[in-house]
Amino acid sequence: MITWLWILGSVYAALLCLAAYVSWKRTKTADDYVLAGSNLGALVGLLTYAATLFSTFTLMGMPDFFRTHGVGAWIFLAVSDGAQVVLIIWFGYHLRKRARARGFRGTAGLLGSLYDDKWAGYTYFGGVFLFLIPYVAIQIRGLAIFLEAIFPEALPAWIWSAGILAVMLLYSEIGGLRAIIYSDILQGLTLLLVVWIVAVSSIMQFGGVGELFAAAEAVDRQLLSTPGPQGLFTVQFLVASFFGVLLLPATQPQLTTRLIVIRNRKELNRMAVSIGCFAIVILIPVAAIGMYGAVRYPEATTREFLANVLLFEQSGIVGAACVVGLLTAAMSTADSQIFALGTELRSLLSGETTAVLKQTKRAILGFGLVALIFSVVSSDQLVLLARVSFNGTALVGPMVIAGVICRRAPGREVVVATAVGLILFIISLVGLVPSLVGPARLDLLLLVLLGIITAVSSVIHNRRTA
Amino acid sequence: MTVCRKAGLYLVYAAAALVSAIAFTPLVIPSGVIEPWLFGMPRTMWAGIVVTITLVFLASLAAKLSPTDAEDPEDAGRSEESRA
Repeated sequence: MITWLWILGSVYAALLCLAAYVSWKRTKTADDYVLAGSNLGALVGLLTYAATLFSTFTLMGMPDFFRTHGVGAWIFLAVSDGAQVVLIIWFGYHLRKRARARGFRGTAGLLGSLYDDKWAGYTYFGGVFLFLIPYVAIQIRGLAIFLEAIFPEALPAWIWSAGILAVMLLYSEIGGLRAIIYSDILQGLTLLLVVWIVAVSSIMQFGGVGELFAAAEAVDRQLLSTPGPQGLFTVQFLVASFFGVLLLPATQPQLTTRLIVIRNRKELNRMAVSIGCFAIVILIPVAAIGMYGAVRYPEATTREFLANVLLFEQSGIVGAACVVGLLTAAMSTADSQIFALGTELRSLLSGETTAVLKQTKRAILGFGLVALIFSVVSSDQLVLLARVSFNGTALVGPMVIAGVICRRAPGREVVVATAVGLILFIISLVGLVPSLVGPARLDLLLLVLLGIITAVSSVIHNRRTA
Repeated sequence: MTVCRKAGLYLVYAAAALVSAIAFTPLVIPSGVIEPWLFGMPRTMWAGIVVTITLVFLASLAAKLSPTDAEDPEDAGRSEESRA
């Protein structure tokens, strides 16, 4: 496998260098650097959006989630992704209209303009910074776990993480968003290929899908229904997660930017529907790999399960393709997120273009370093960390959506309520306030309250305008 | 965009909201129930797949019904600022 890993790894590295070089040659202006010319077709849009959405979290976290908690994981992610596709069509239309009218440098800047209040932009930026960093960190962490398994005792995890981050930052800094999009295309295709190869080989070991689920039933019947063996998938947990994932196109800047850089609305709509199909096509094999793990490795740790199912059970070339697939998955998501944080910061800055771009590039490096530190200290619970990120950023959702869709944005009370909501959620994560209020989960309760406050404020402000 | 098409679009959005809500009812996630099986899959799995496919189908309908940039009268030269 090591030989294959060198071959495939070298091909991937060469393609990355090519992507960075071509992007660097084609980038003429600062806007070109951060928005890639804003002229993507549906197919490229699909691959870059899918690669950003489906990451290490999908390839490593979700099989482990299926293995541990059962088929409820489908409701957790796939149903939310299906609904997200509808949201892309609806929200994308309004967002692009606003972006055309006001100009788009980043969601934070756009919100500052729509709310006529720079604190709206700052609150959004604060929220996405706090909750994107853990998401970036789990990409890097996931990959480091895997590389440690392949090369035990070769290097400590933090050096693997630092190496991955250095490569990622290098080509992002050289080629900008265009280089990231090119790498996303590579990743989207590799991820799809790899999960299907692993899933088919897993299913074939049992003789078919029915036999696989029957074997899982024999191991633990609770895997095949909710709330699952550990009781995680309660209705409240699933609903809170649903909103977290549903709102991603509005709340996570790396995805919002991709709605803007598509050529026109027709292409955007095509891209949205294709993403739904892609989600189904990618999550079916992921579920199969997870169920396979539930039968073969019920007691194994996350690391043991992933190393066995993705590497040691596979032929040399498939195992190497898995490693490269993971490498691309982690890098394409993490670089998009770090780059998006830089873009958001840029949209809040004013001044001479070259100076602002320099500051943005420095900020991207800074965000990368913070993510590296977090990746070293974070746990192996990739999906649960990702969920914290989804639900944290979801809290800015009502503010973003109301600002974009309402003729006149709601008042400052929405910005203040959002900031308070974010602070409460963060202090609940460190245990300073309870994460349950009576029977209700705090994250869901905060989202509902913010939704109500935003709706009331929107109605009042728009009535006054009328 | 005609009134009929606009109404159709809103209907599709409402249907998507309804289908999403159904996913969290005992119709799709009955606690501890795995029957009936379909295509070798337990109930929550196949019902979840059906819900996801339905949502993607509704998205394709919404995509067909929503106006293109050229068709949208609000995009044809009327700026946001002039409306506010």
